[in-house]
Amino acid sequence: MSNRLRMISTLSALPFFLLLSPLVHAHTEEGVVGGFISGFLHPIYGPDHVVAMVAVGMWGAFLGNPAIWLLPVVFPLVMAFGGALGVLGLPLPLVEIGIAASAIVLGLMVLLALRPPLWVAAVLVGAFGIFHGHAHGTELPAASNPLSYAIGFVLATGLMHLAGIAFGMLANSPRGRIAVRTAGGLISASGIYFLTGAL
Amino acid sequence: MTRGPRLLLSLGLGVLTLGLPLMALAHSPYPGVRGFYVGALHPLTTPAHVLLIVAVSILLGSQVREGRMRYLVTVFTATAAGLVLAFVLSGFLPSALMILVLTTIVGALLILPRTLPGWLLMALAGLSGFLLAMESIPDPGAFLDVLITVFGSLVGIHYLIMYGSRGAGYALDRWDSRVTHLGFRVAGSWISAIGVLMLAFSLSGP
Repeated sequence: MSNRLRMISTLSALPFFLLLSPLVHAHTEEGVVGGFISGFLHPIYGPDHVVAMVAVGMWGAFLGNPAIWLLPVVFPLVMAFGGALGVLGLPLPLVEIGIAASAIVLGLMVLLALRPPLWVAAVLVGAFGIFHGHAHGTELPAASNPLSYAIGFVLATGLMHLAGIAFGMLANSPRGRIAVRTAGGLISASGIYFLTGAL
Repeated sequence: MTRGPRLLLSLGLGVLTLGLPLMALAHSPYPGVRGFYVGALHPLTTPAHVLLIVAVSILLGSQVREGRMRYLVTVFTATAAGLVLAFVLSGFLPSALMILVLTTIVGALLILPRTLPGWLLMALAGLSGFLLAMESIPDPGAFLDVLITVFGSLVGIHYLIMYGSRGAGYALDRWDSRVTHLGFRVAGSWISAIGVLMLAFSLSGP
């Protein structure tokens, strides 16, 4: 295995280790550190969010430069605006359906290897980001330290994008391309499952 | 020395350096020294301040390649002005909220793939120093103690931005500048997103 592939496979494994980390929490989550931990874990504990955010990174890697960095830049920014709407108590209709649709659509984009114009990809990702942000914003725990919660929340989102990018870069090889497109199909299928739950 | 041991040595020295102020605080042999450290380290104790310092440092480090001294003098002057005016304007100016707004703006500017005008960079750098200073006034006490703590804040804010911007500039020189710029843009989007969320938290009340 080449160094590059080894690095990619290691990076792809990171989210799974992140999922294991709660097992070692022996203390209550309070203050700055508690806010960071709960903010960091919040998006990770939602499988519908996880698959969509990984799909954003995968699609970005699939599309290549500049989408590989533009999509992961657009998503957290727009998601934060959605989160702000949720925090401020402003309603947004069909949030759960929008989140499920994001997994379906983004997964399909990867599965079918679609390459729309960059602005279309950015608008699509940004539109879905509002739904994800709003869902997080309305579910925020009241006791957490707000700033450290926000830092953990955004970092976790960014790391899931990076994990998606790392996995999506496998598409540079023929076999890796099959693996990435298959993963896109699985994400889309999971989106259909989430949609049935939302309906 | 090969790269690996050099990295380990650097990390070790870094950890030692972080530990030294604690040792100094433990003894406090000179009156007032503790207040200086409290003031100097104050920006690092508030996550919102750290976020703004990181954002401004990256902005200055990535945008200003020559004549950095002018910007640092601006930061120093604005910080000093803020520390003096803080005693007059404290309570009248929503500086904590303004720090979040400025952080969001600076983070968003980091994403733009273009060189910003010098006057704008100078204004942002000065405003950052001013607002950080406004939020760094110590609790009331003996005049000399307050003065030493305020001086510590001035040094702390200025040094953090100075070394932060130099670090960002060094990263551009040391590594592939294209990739480093991309990293700065991603960092900018994260910083701006955190700023937006924090603003929402602040405006939504307790």
